[in-house]
Amino acid sequence: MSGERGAEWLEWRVTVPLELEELAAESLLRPPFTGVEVVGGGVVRTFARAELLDDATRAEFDAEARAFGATAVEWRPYEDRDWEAAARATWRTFRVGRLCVGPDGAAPRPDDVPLRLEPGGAYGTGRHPSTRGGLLGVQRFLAAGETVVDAGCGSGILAVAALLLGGREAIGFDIDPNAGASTRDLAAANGVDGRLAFREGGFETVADVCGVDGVAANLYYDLVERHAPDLARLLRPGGWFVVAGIRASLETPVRDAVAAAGLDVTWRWPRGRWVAFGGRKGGG
Amino acid sequence: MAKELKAIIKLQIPAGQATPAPPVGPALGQHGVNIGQFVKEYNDKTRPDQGTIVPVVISVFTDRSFTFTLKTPPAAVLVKKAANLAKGSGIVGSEIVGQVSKAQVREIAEKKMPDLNAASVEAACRMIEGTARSMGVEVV
Repeated sequence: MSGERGAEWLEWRVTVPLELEELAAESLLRPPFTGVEVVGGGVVRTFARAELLDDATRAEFDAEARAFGATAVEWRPYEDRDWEAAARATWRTFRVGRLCVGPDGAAPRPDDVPLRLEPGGAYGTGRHPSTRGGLLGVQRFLAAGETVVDAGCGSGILAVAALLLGGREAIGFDIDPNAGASTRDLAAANGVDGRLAFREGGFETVADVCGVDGVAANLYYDLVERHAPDLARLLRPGGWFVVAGIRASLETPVRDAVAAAGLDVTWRWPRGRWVAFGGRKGGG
Repeated sequence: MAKELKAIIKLQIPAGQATPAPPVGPALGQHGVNIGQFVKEYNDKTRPDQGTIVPVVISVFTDRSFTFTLKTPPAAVLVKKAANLAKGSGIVGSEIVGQVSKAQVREIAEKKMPDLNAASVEAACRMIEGTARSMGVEVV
C-alpha cells in the first residue's frame, strides 16, 4: 500500500444509538470503504480515498445513515501517512544497565551487550518498568555459565538477556499462545536460539525441572504469591531469583510469600508504581 | 508477564485483506504498534474465511506490544446471508426486505454465543431477532 501513502482520504464518522453500533459498523463496510473502526460510545468510522467519493455519493451515504438511525454524520479530510515507518522511527535503542535494547544491535560502549528487539505480539519489550526491573535483576545476579528459567517469559526478553550476558542455557514458559513464536524469533534474532527452549503453559510445564542457577519471574502479583514455592523448588540451594512486575502497593504480601518459600530478598528496584526485587534461596 | 493495558481497538476488516492503510494504520499507528506484524498475523489467521468480515479486538500494552482476538462475523452479516440478501433495508423498521426462520435465528445465535453478552441461547435469539428486525428482515 506504499503507493497510497500521502494520498488524500476521507474519514466518515457516524454516530448511532449504542444498540445499532454493530449494525452500523457492518453497514459502513462496503466499497469504496476499506474497513471500520468501532470507536465506542456509538461512534464508528471508516475511510475511503477521496477521489472515489463525489459530493452526490457522500450525500447519498449520509441520507442512508440517517435513515438507518444515525444521529450525526461527519466527513473529515485525512492525509494518510506511513504509520509503519513512523512507529519504527520512534523505536530507538535504549539502555538498561549494560544491555542496549533496540532494532539495530547498537552497542556504543566496550562492555555493552546489544539485544536486538522490535515490539511485537508478546509482552516484554523492555520499555515498561516491569520488564526493565527484570532485566536489571538478571544483570545483578547472573554469573557466566549459569542455567536460567524465565517464568511467564512473554517475548522471551529476560531469558534472551540472560543468555547474551553469559548464561549457558535457558527455559522460558508462558500460557500466552503468542509467546512461543515471539520467544523463538527473539532468540533467533540474537543468535541464542540453540540454547533457549520454550514450553507453552504454566508452572506445570517445568515440573521436571529443578536445581537451576536462576529464575526470573515477571508475573502478576497473585501468581508470584501462589507460585513462590514453585520458584524455590526450581532453584538449587543458593540459586538466585528475580521477581518483577509487582505493583508497589502489593509488594508486602508478595514479599511475605517469597520469604515463606525460603527465598531471601537482598536487592530491590522501585520505579514509580512498580517494583522488582531479588535475592537467593537459602541453604547455599 | 505482568502486563499494563494501554488501549483496546475494535476493527471490522475483510478477512485475509488487512493492509496498513486506514483504518488499520491510524488505529494502531497512534499507539506505536508494529503494524506489519499485525497485518501479517491477521491475514494468516483469517485467510480461510476470505470473503467475509472477521472483526478483531486488539489489546495494546504500554510497552507497544499487542495481542488480538478474532470475533465471529457480525450478526447483520449472518442474517443477510441467511435471508439471501445483498443488503438490509437501510431504513429501520420501515421496510421488510426479507425473512429468516426461527431455526435460522437459533443457528446464528449459537454461532454468535461466544461474542454475545447473553445468558442463554434463547436470550441470544432475542438479540439476533432484534438485529434482523432493525435491518428489515422478518422472523417467521
